[in-house]
Amino acid sequence: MMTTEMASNVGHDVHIKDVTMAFGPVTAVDQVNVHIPAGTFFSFLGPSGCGKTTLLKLVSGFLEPTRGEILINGINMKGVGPNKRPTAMIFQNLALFPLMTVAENIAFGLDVMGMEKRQKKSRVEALLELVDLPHAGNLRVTDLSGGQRQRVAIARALAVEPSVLLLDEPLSALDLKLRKHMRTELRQIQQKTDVTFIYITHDQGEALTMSDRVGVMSQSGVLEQVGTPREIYDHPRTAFVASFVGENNAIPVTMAENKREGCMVESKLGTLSCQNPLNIESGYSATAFVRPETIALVNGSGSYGNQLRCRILSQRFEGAFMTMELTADDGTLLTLRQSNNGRQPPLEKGDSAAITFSPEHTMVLR
Amino acid sequence: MIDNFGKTGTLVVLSLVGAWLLFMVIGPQLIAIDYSFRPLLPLRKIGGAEDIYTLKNYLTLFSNTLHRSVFIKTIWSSILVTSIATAVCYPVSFYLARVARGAKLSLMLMAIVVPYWINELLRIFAWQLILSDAGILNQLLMGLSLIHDPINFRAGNSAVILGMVYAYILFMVFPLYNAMESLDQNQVDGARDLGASWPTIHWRIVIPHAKPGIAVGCIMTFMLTAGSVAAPQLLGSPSSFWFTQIIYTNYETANWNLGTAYSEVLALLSLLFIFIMLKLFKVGLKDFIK
Repeated sequence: MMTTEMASNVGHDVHIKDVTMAFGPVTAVDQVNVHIPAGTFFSFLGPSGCGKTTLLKLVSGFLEPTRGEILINGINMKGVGPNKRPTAMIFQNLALFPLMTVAENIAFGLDVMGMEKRQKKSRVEALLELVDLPHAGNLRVTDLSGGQRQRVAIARALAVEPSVLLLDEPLSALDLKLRKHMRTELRQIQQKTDVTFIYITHDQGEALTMSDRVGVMSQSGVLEQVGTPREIYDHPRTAFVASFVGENNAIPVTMAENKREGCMVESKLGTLSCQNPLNIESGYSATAFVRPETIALVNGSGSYGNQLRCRILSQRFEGAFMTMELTADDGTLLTLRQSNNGRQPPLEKGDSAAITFSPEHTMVLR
Repeated sequence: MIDNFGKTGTLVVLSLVGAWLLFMVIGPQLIAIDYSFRPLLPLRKIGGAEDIYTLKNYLTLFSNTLHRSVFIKTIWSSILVTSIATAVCYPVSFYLARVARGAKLSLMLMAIVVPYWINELLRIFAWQLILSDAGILNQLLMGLSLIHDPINFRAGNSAVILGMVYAYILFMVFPLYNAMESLDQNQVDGARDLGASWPTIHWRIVIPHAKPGIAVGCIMTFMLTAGSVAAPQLLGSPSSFWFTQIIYTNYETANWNLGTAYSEVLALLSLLFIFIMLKLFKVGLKDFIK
């Protein structure tokens, strides 16, 4: 049973300390270290099979870590079962109880607490109001649409006043439009309730738009980088993060000259000036990353530092912007994206074009 | 079906099934019903003036106090057997369906199924060997010096009830197992995550989900128990007389009229039990067939 102090509807911080989870010879989560501040919306982003669901099960108490510990509000959760933790989980398939009505679903956790009937009724009504389903209490969950079920699942989890809400890719079953709508709604609910949200997703759009902070996990269960969505996107710290989050041109390079204000690398495209955030020593091979939207076509004078001649392989007009596939003299493929200002001269497939990108936007990573 | 067998094929298959139903099920049943409404008469009087339809045979169940009490006792004992079987099989089925995995599961399923490769009669004989005065259980208890004289386990009802619970356990375990197996683990985890204890999870999640299975298991066990002859015959004592034994005696003494009437009563009782269970568990006939 939750203590009243734990049940207070304010988020707690979650401290994942050196957590490793091994299933036999397979390491699903590898020495993850992260502090999730109270009341934030935190997303774990990673490809499927990267151990992010395992991490969520560790926080919720369905699994105990092989090594390391998990602290919620400073309290070590070792040996505390899922029914005793101040967490509530929204499952990927929602796991609503199909034999109960919407109201009975939401009241389940309150029944377990032994809440008095009248109080329970008003609490359920308040929650239905919060998730914008004010008159759905007597409906069967099987009569609801995907988005409505989603909201019932949120209301049911919030009913027990968790201080940490765990969400396991809950939007993955919805269609694109609804998913985008629910992103905004989840974010609003998080801000209204001040509960700490830990959100698991493989969809970078979700992670970037909703979260205060994002943790990117790689296939091997390693937490590669933690930061704000902007930091993750603009300043990736590893080659994995750079290529997994957003689109990126990856150019194999060898470090030529490492200086404090920037570096020079050698590649098949010639010498490039770049950023060297990892301080990679001269002589080592690495990868330079340039985002398609930071590459520009040279028309007349403007140059951002690095300049190349390319040929247009194909182009895709998408209204607000244009995506071009380019090939450099040595055969390297590059992608360029420019926003449409209505004045760009039309180019044809096979035309030659000069492109430029600044050293500031070119990251050498490993 | 027409797609699979063609028009003629379908006609042949359907008429074969129809003929089988007519001659093996409906026909004998109608003859039995006819018997049950006629009085018992000497051979030369059959078809004569006294051979009229009457409720006499059915009313005997109420007028004969022995028959009446045995009938009621059979109902109660069958309900008792069904309840015990449910209580025993629920945890077993839950373990099989939701906990046991791999080799352990196969081994346990085998342990439950293998005894059913042997005839029911022999399984009940096995209990006779265990429970009789010179049986294994008495020998064991005496060997351990826990008792000096053999205990008569077969006095009263308990041996019959024990034998029946065992004899029909499979018919309870499998419907329960099937129903529980289809429960989504996330439902259980979800309830647990919301703070529910194990008893609450069973009461509010597992049992409601397994209801059709429980209903089917209860119906099967009740019908088999109420209609069982072998167990009361082999394990019973004079005080554990079963209604089927009265029916049997009537057939033996050539009073088929009373025998068929009582058989029909037993069939009606089973139908009534099915109806009550389906209502009680709010289960449709469709679930029963599954």
